[in-house]
Amino acid sequence: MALMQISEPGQTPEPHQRKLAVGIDLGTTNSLVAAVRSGSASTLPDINGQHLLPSVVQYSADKIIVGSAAQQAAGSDPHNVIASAKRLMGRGVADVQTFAGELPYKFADADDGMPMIVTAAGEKSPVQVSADILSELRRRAEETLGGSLQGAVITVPAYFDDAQRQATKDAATLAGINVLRLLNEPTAAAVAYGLDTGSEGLIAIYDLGGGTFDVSILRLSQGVFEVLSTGGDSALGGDDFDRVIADWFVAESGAVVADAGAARRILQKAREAKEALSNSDTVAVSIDDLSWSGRLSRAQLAKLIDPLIDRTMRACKRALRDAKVKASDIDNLVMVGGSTRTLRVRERAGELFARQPLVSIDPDKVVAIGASLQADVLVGNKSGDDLLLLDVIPLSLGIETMGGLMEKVIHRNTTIPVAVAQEFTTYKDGQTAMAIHVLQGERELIDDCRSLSRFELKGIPPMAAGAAHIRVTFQIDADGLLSVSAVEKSSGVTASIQVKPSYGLSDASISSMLTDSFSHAKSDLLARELREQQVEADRIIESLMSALLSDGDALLSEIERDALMQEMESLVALRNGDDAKAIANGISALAKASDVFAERRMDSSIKKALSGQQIDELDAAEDGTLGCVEKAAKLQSQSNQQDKG
Amino acid sequence: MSTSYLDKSFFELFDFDVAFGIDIEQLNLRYRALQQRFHPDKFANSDQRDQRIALQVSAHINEAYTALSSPLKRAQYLLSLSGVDASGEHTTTHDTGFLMQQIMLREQLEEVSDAADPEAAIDALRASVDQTSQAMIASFEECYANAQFSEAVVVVARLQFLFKLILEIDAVEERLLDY
Repeated sequence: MALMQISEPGQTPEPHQRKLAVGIDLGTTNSLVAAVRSGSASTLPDINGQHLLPSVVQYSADKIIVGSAAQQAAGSDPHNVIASAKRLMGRGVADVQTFAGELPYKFADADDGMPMIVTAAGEKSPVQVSADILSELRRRAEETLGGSLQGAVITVPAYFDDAQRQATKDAATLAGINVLRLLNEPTAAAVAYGLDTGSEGLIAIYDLGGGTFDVSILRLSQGVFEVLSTGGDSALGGDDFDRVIADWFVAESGAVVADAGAARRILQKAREAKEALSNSDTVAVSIDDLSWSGRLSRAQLAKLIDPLIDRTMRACKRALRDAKVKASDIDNLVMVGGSTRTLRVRERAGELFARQPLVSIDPDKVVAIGASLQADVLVGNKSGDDLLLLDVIPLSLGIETMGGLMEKVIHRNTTIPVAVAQEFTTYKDGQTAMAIHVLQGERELIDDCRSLSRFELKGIPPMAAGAAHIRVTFQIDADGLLSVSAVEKSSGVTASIQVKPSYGLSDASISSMLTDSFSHAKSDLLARELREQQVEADRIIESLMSALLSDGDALLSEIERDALMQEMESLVALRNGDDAKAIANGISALAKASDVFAERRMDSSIKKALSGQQIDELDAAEDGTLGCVEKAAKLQSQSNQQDKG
Repeated sequence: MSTSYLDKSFFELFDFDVAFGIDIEQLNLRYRALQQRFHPDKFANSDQRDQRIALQVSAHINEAYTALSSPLKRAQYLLSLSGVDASGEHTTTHDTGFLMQQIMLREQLEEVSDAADPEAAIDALRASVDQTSQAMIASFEECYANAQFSEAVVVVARLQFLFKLILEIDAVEERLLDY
């Protein structure tokens, strides 16, 4: 049998090289990127030493500017400087109308329900704005770390629904980032905090950012981070504090706000005053746009923001109840997000949980740091790590039933991943298609819940009405994203499913956006497809080799082993060629050929996991560090020995 | 050769005998051991096929864990394994004794908002329902152990009502305390 050679095109294989992965906090106000280097996690600064990247993009006819420079231009170029795009992610035109008065942008009518912002560089969707911010972070990371990124863990508010999460993933795709995991922000903070202090017990994370509020109750125990419950408000944050303060300035002055530019400048003053009050009792304020100056005190600030903080308190109480714990049971309270610097927020949270909130880890950086710790594990840099994050779905998922009612299929705070099946049948003779409207929320009426998407099932074999047994499986993956599959049970036919997101990009839109973004469209696209297939081929070959090394003898006969080795060799040959489609076919063929082996391994794996047996630890450690070529050699010699013996 | 993990009962998956009484501590430990092995995060670097399988296995483990952790769900699952239909909606209507208790408990819940100390009234009601639930659970364990399935079905129906009532008590509390 030939020795398998696997070589990276244009590169000599270095099996022990660390893979580059980062954690990204894509925030409403500020974004950060962090990485684990030399065993410790830290945020990456730009060339000026700034760690925070303001989530602000300025669009001009000839260029795009991301960050502080864009932020500074907000007052003079209000329609082209886009901030807080996160508040628009996964949202429809109707939602924008409700807070359009507060956002000084020009919105265009959209065809697929997505709000488009009119700028000097054309119409931009919130997804594109976020993609531009992510691209900037990716550039920063690749320059600092000196190589291309293998992947990133991107954080999202725990309370983000499916549409908001999908929008975040779409933005990453447009920015050319491979998403290892979408991670909930409070969970990320818990990881940073937990791994740093080695704490165990119950922890409450109070995360108040620029535009979102999350509260999560977790149990930490020996590397296992189990989310017991999560709650929040995905439309409440420091931006709203700024707004009520700005409204107060306007009311006090009795003046009229001249235009969008004035509105943004006043908001900026409000933010500055709010931040200054973290360090003094009162602050002097002078606003030219209103021809007014006055003083803002901590007491007045408290009056203005207390009603907003009340909403966070309610979410905290509900999360405690969902977790079935009392405030006094909590061991540690951690404050996350720049807005928790406002003293009144700390005061009120401390009151509810009857303890001093912990603010030792920088509340701006803790989320990115936690994300980078998970990224390091997911990309495979740390082997045998005990870190396990068990997260939950934050909002119940359900379907529309007759009379405009929402029937829950998966309840909030269910641990993910999760799959639930429901049976449906046809109501007309010969019916071959069916539509399911999926929503998220806790209310009874669909009008009070968020519409996620409509799934159209096609290809149901025609039968008498009511005779079909269509089993629809709703699956939430570890990113918190929904996918639906359907099988007609009596015939075994899998229905084909077309997804129509209520507020999102269709696959076709994303593909065309991706093609547009390449300057040499066609050849770049082909090269990219080939590379992707090669990487995937490498992955399946690598994992199959590991599996054969550890379980091949025990679970396969010699004939079965030989057959698999042959299939692998065919794929290696294809993989070293340049026909992407042939590689894809080879991957399917190998996957099919090894399915039986995979199933046997699964069964024996379950037994091993329960009996606490590990694969002989030495072997496991060795296999973990072997590169492809070494593994092939080891397999070869094992097989030679088998032939001799 | 070996049966697929999907064909095993939840009890077998966690290596428990098929019985109502299980060691919850052990259940939690085994649950974590299984997820340490099969959670999709452990396969983030693997090929798509392994990732897909991990997702399915991990979801299945979560389903099994949810079913076994809750006494009500565990009871319903046990009955389903014995081929007994435990969807109790029709059985409570014939359970006249318990029907009276249902009406009384609902009335108590309605009156809570008029009580002098609503919070205390809610706590008292909840404690009383918890106590009755405990008794029902013990009763189920006995019926099931003696293979008295028709009695077991009635007990499960009562338990279901009580668990639903707890959710309603929680909702009333939320409204009253302005959550």
